[in-house]
Parts: sequence; C-alpha cells; structure tokens
Amino acid sequence: MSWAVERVDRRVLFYTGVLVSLGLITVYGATSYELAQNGKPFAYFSSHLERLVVGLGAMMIAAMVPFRRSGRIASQLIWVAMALVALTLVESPLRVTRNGISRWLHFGPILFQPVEFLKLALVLAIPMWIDENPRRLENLRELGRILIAPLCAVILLVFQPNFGSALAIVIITGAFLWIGGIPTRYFATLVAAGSAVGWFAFNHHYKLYHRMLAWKGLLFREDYDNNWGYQAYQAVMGLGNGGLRGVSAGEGITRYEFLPEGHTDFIFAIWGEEWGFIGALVVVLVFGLLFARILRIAHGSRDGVAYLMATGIAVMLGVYTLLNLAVVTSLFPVMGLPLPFFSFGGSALITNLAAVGVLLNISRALPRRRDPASRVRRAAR
Amino acid sequence: MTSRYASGRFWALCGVLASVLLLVVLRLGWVQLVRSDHWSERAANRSSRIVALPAPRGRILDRNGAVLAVTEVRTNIGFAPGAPNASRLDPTVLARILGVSTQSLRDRLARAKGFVTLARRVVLAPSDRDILLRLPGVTLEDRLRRRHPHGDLALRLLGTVSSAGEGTNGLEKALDGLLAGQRGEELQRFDRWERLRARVPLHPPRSGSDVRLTLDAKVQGILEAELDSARVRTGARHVQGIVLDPRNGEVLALAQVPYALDSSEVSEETDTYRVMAATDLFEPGSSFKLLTTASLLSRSVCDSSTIFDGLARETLGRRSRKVFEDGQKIHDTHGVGIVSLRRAFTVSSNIVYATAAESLLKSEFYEDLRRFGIGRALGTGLPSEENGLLLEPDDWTTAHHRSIAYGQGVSVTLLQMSAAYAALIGDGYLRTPQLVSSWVTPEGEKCLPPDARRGSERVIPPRIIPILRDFCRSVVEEVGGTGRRAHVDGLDIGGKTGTAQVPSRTGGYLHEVFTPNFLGFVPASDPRLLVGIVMHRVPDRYASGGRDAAPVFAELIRKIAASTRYLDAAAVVEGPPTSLETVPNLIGRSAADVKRLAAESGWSLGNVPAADDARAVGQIPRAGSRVQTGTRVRVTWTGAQS
Repeated sequence: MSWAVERVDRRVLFYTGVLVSLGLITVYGATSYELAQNGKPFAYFSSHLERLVVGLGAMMIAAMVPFRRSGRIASQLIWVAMALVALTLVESPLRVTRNGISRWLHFGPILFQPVEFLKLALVLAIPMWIDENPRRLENLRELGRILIAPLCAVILLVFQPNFGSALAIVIITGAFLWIGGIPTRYFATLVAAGSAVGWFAFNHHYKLYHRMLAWKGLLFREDYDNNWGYQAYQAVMGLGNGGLRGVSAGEGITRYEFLPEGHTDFIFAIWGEEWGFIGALVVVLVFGLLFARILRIAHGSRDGVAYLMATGIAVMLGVYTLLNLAVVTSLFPVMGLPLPFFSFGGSALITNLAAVGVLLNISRALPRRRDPASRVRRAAR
Repeated sequence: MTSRYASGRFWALCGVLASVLLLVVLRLGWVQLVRSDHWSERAANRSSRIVALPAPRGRILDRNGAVLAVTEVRTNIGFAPGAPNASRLDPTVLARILGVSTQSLRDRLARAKGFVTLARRVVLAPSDRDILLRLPGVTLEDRLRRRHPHGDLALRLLGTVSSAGEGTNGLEKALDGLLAGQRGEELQRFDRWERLRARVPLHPPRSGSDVRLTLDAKVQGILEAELDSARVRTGARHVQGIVLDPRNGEVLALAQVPYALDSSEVSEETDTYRVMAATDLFEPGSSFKLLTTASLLSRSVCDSSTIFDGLARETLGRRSRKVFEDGQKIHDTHGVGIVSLRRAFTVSSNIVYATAAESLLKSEFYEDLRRFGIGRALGTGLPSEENGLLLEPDDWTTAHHRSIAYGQGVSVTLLQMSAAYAALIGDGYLRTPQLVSSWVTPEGEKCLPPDARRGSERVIPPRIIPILRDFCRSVVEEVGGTGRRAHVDGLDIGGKTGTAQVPSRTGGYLHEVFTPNFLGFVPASDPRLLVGIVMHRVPDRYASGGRDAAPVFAELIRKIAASTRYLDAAAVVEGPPTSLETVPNLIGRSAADVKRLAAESGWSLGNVPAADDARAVGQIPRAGSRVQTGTRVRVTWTGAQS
C-alpha cells in the first residue's frame, strides 16, 4: 500500500482542486455579508475550510485503500449507514432539526447528514454485488436481492422526507442496473413503474405539488406567486442579473440575503451572478471535464468492479451536479441537493472527496498512457 | 472496459449525461444572455432605488435683510448595525454629540438588532456632521422644514411649502423657480430586509437662491395690525391692504385679514391660501373716478374747472337722485348742485361723473382704462392672478358707460387699482407691483428683477399728473371732501374714497353691504407711499370709504411715519412740535385782557371783539380744556350783533 503521486490521475485531482477552491471562495462570498452582522464574516469560510481538510484526508485514505477493500467495507457498513438514516426519523437527542427538516445527527461536536454516507456506501457496494455474478441481473430473484438496500434507502428517505436524495439514489441505482446489463424489458418496466410513482408523487404530495407549480410559474411566466417559488426565483434573478460577464465580485444582490440558503443548495446562483455566463460556463465545463475524465477511467479499467465503481462515482457526482444545476436554473422543481465540491456542507464534501479518493485508487490500477500494452489494446479496438 | 459489460450501454449513459449538461448550458444561456436585461431590471428594482436628495430651499428676506422664511435642516441620527465595521464604533464621540452618557449609548447599540434611530430632528453643527459621517454604522437622514422667524407675518403672501419641498401657494409658488434649487439624486442599495448597505451619489443637490423681497417687515407688521383692528371694528368679512412706493412699484407691505379665510369662501377657482390682492375682484366704486378723471383730462374733454350740472331732479332727504333720459337712476349721497369737475371729485358726485363720462367715446374710455391696467393681469407671477373684468366697449350700454365712470360694473383687484393709482399720481408709467428686489444664487451672484415698467410710454401726459394729485389732495384736505378722515397732522395727504356696492349673486346689488375702500398717497405733491385699503362686505348701511377705510389709512400713515424713515422727508409742518395748552377761563374778562392772554399762551383768538370795551360772555372750547398749540378759541363778546 504505497502512495505514488505519479500513479494517480492528476487531471481528476486538478479538476477537483479547481472546484473545491472556487467553492471555498463562493462560500465566503455567499455568507460574509450575513455573518458580518454578527461580526464574524469568516465563520462559514473557516468551517468549510476545516471540512475541506477533513475531506482531503478522507480522499487520501480512500486513495490508499484498494478499491475492492473499500467496496467490501462499504457493503458491510451500508446497514450501519441505513440505521443512522433511520435514526433521523425518530425523536432522539441525537437528531438535529433545521428549518423544520430533520436530516442531521450529532455526536458531540460532530454534526453530519447520514444520507451522504449511505449514498457513498451504496455507490461502492452495489458494484461488488453486481460483479459477483455477471448474470445476476437477469435473474429476478437475484435482482431483488441487489435492490433491497437501495429500496430500503429510498423508503427511509421518502419518510425523512428528502425527495432529492431519494431521486438521486433511484437514478444512481438505475444507472448501475443499466450498465450492469439488466435485460431491457426489466429496465423498461422499472423505469415505467418509477415514472408512474414519480408522476403520482408530484401530483398528490402536498410539498412536491407546490414545488412543481412554483417551478412551472418560474419557467413559463418568469414570476412567483408565493413562498414556494421565492428561492428559485431569486436564484434565476441572480443568474440573469449576472448577464454575460457578471457583476463584479461582491456586487451581486443575491448575497445580500435575497437568496436563502445561498451558500448550500443555491451556491451556483451566487457564483453565476458575480461571474456571469462566462464564469458559469467555466464551472459547468470543469464539471463536464471531470465527469468525462472519470468515465474515461471507467472505460479504461479492465476490472469489472473498477468499471462499475468508477462509472457509479461519475453517475453519482453527475446526478447531484446536474440535478442541482437544473434546480438552480429552474429546469427542475426545487429538490434540495447540494452542488458537489461547491456547496457548504461537510458530509457531502467529505463523502464526495472520499469518492474521488476511491476513484484515484482505481486510476492507479489503470494501464498508463505510455504503457505499450494500452496502445496495443487501443489498436485492437 | 471488460467484455462482461456492454459498451453500448456505457456510451448511452455518457450520452444522457452529456445531453443534460448541454441542456443546463442552454438554459444558462437563455437566462443569462437572452433574458439578462429583464432579470437585471428586476434585480435593480428589488435591491436598490434612486432617492431624491432635497435641495436646501433659498431664504426669503425682507428689504432690510430680515429673514421671513428659511429652510432648516433637521437631522435624524441612526445606527445600522449591519453596516461595514459597525461593530467597531466607538460610542464616546457619538455620545458627546448626542448629549447622552457613553454607557447608556453603548447599551443601546448593543441591544440594536436592526436599524435604530438614536436621535430625531437634531440641528447639527457642520463640524459635528463631518465627525458623524465618518463613524461606522452611523446614518444621517436630513429633514427639511420651512421656518418663519417672524411668525405669522406676511404668511399668506409668503405661502407654504409642501413636504416634498415645492412651493404650493403664495410667493413660495410664484418664486419656486428661484427658491427651489435642484434636487440631487443618489442610488441606495438594500439587502433583503431593506437595510441600507450602500449609497452611490449620482449628482449632488444645488441649493436655491436667497430672495430679497421689497417688503418691509416693520411696515408689513403695522399694516397687518391695522387691518385686523379695522376688521374687528367694522365687521368686514375681509380687509386687504397694500403699501407701495409709486416711484418704482415696490410693494412695502401686502396683507389680508383674517389670516385664515372662511372655508365658505372656497370655490373651485380659489383656495383658502390665495393672495387676495391678486385673485379677489371687487367693484371699486368712487375710487375709480380718478381713472375716469385721467381719461377726461387726457382726452381734453374737459378741464378741472369745467362746470357740470350735478343738480338732482329729485331729492330724498339728503340723498339726491337724477333720472337720465334712458331711465337710469343715479344717486348722490349729498346733493351737489352745479359744480366744477374738481369739486365733483372732492365730494364724489356720481351724477356729475356719469354726466361727464357721456362726453367720452366708449372706445376712448375703454382704451384708456386698458392702458391704466384695468381688465388685464399685471403679471406679478402670484398664483391665479386675475385679469379683472372690463367688458368690451361694444357690449356697453349707455347705463354701463355711465356706471363705469364711478366704478360700478367694472371689477378689479387691489393690485390693479394700486398699480393704476401709482401710474396716475406717480410719473405716469404703469408698473407691475414689484415683490422681489433681488436674489443671490448659491454661487454668490446677485441678480435683479427686470424693470417693473409695463410699456415704454407713459399712460398719461405728464401735465395731467399734478392736476390729479391736486384733485386727490382736495378730497382729504378740503372742506366737504369725502376723505377728510384720512388727514394726518403734519403730512400732506391725497386720496380718494370709494364705497362700492356688492353685486349679488342673483343680479343687482346687495343692500346694506358695501365695499368701502380708500387709496391714498403721501405726500400729495410728490408721492412716496401709496396705500390701498379695501374692506370687503361691511354689513352696515352707513358704511363708506370715508368713514371706514380712510381712518385706517390715517392711522397706518401715522404709525409708519412714527416708526420708520419712509416719510421723514415728507413732513410739511416745520417749527416746534405741537404741545397741549390749557384754555383759561375767559368769561368776564375784558377784550384787552383776553388779547394779552392769547399773546402770552399758545392758543390764539378766534375772533376779534367788535369794541375794545367788550367783555367775554362765552368761549369755545370752554375753560380747562386741553388743546393743541395754535388752536383758535372763539369768544362771544358783549355787544356783538348776532
């Protein structure tokens, strides 16, 4: 278990580094005005920095641990994570409620969102289960056994309620099944069933229904009628105010408390207002390059678990990123998902960096570009 | 990629991710590029606003520099805890300026969650203001208030200023262009909770000019007091007065009482804040005869000694009435007989003036009156200035023609009447009454108003002017004159009374309600002050200009002469000041004795005895009376034939 920097994928490190740096700056920008009222403009910045350090540590550890061992540990810990998520459903001294939402647990000074760890555990564990037997997904019984954990997670999250994470886990699981080789008819059935449940939920669940109405109003009328639409409206207004080049740093209006939760789920609006379309495009581009690079690592891996795991990590980061951007640009109703590497929030930052660490470990096992064998392999394709 | 997993599905997944990413980029382009202006506008509306900065309004001064109206800046001092570095505020300096203890201020600031106002309506010294502006978190909000250091003095004429800083009536409105200055603007940015977070100056305010009026606060005060007591004495609904210098048209005082007009007087055209001298029309009555005289003399229709038949065909007690050929009945309060034009003016004969005016062509008469400023606004700039009412000559009936000659059937404002008088007894030029003598711009430049003269030619030949002055003088100074009560000892007064009937709303004239007025000037030979007094709606059947308005004039002139220097050069009586003498008992004394007493004391003997041995048997005034020096004492002598 030796650490060799030259063996890890430097581009992934670079893209991740760019994103967490920009995120750190934006967290400061998004919170400094409000915090300055209490005389502590750097409070969130330093807190974010601490978690970033922890996350980088997690990334290094994950990069050193062989990914199969990470997968095994994850599949063992998955039920612990599930239990922790279940703990947020019941009244207990550990549970922390903010803005009427109970998603956090605290152990002493440590406050975290168990769902983030559950998400990472699923992404690491499912490839292990699928790769055990290549034909597993064609057998309904075996398929059902693989789906037990994700299904439990989704049910817990629906009751939490955390529809954003539930949706993300559904999409991640679906992506695993898809690339894992599930028969098309099963997949189509699952997609149809999922869509039906989703349609039903959006039309009959009070919260989701109102969010959908607000979203429609914003998308088609560019206006909002009530509190349901306020936050997303402010985000779009901020982005639009940014224009092509953005208002200069510190001059955006969203940071002056117009945009609630500007440092977490809607951080991209703050960035997009101050740096404009160009700045937003740069971030989207870096995300795109990161996903492409991860998918390339996945594509290049010869190990089934590595392939599935790397693809899963790409899908996980991709789903969170795209859902978040879709929400901020009001392409999708408000879901409450953080933007990976950017948003303030320790659990997500640490687990995402840990996922990158796992990916770096996978990349170490890849054939190098200068490796003649890889050229041969490419030529063979 | 291991062969266990289908490559096609991998690429399909990549495709889905890529297309969603592309969708996000397209959406960003739509919001940030295509709809950017829309959202920027909304963002600006939501988070900032342009705030007008009031310009300090110029002061209004009287002719001697006394401040009549001044805008005072009162400042609200606030503290915004959210402002940058607000937490570093050192309360000691602030506490000193606010005059509170440092500890209590510190407690207050510590308790402040949002913006707090620390002090309201403070008058700040410039040095303190500079200090406060540099303190973090401290905000200053200026409020402007119009203050009148002389209280109610000339308040209706000065007018009022709206809370927005615009003159709404009176001179404040008329001179708004000079006084108002130009507002500044600044952009204020707010956070979501409307806390001010930044101010961007767009352009600074420019203060207004200081305007120096022609008014004299002292004369104005005297006029207002006199009008007020006259109104109480007579029961008039309103009393108006004006004092102006006929040589240049400068108004020294312009007043109306009561201060607040009756709300029943308010109609759509007029408001309670109007300056009545410019807006309220009245039929002048006999005081208009000066204008008729000017027309008669300048057209050479007659001269001052032309004899007219003022004989009434009917007498009703002391009143007399003449019925003209067309049936018009014109009254004189006292029958005059056959008199000269001058005497008819002195005793104010309507019959004579009606007769005389018939010799003027309607068009000539009309043209002259127009030239004297009747029937057209003078252009003083006062709000809602009236034109007056003078019909076109084609619409005049003969009766109308006659009645205009003595001031009925024509309506004027006090400003028009005084302007016409000032022209006719002054230098012959019609002038717009001047209220502004000069103004000083904020840059310190002194400006003068344009010349008050209206037209470059005299409205009357100069040779007529002394005659008109003499006519007016006879009204006050000659026996039988209607304006005898306007006489002031030691001054040479000219003037004309008017007792106008008040037109009723239903046609015809009201009975027992009159508009007594008096226009007088002093000294009669070279007028320095012209005074107009109009009393609206005096409810008394015996009311007259001579009885009611002339004494107001006399009292006013007396007080102006006593307390100002305007009439210093006008006094005609030279020598020792008059003093009081006690008349001794003369009854029973011999003629020689009485003559000796008279020579020794200040009084004089009214009539000489028929014979030297005559004795006094009666005297007027009686013994013990206190009389002025020079008073003649009439003595009845023995042996005198009655």
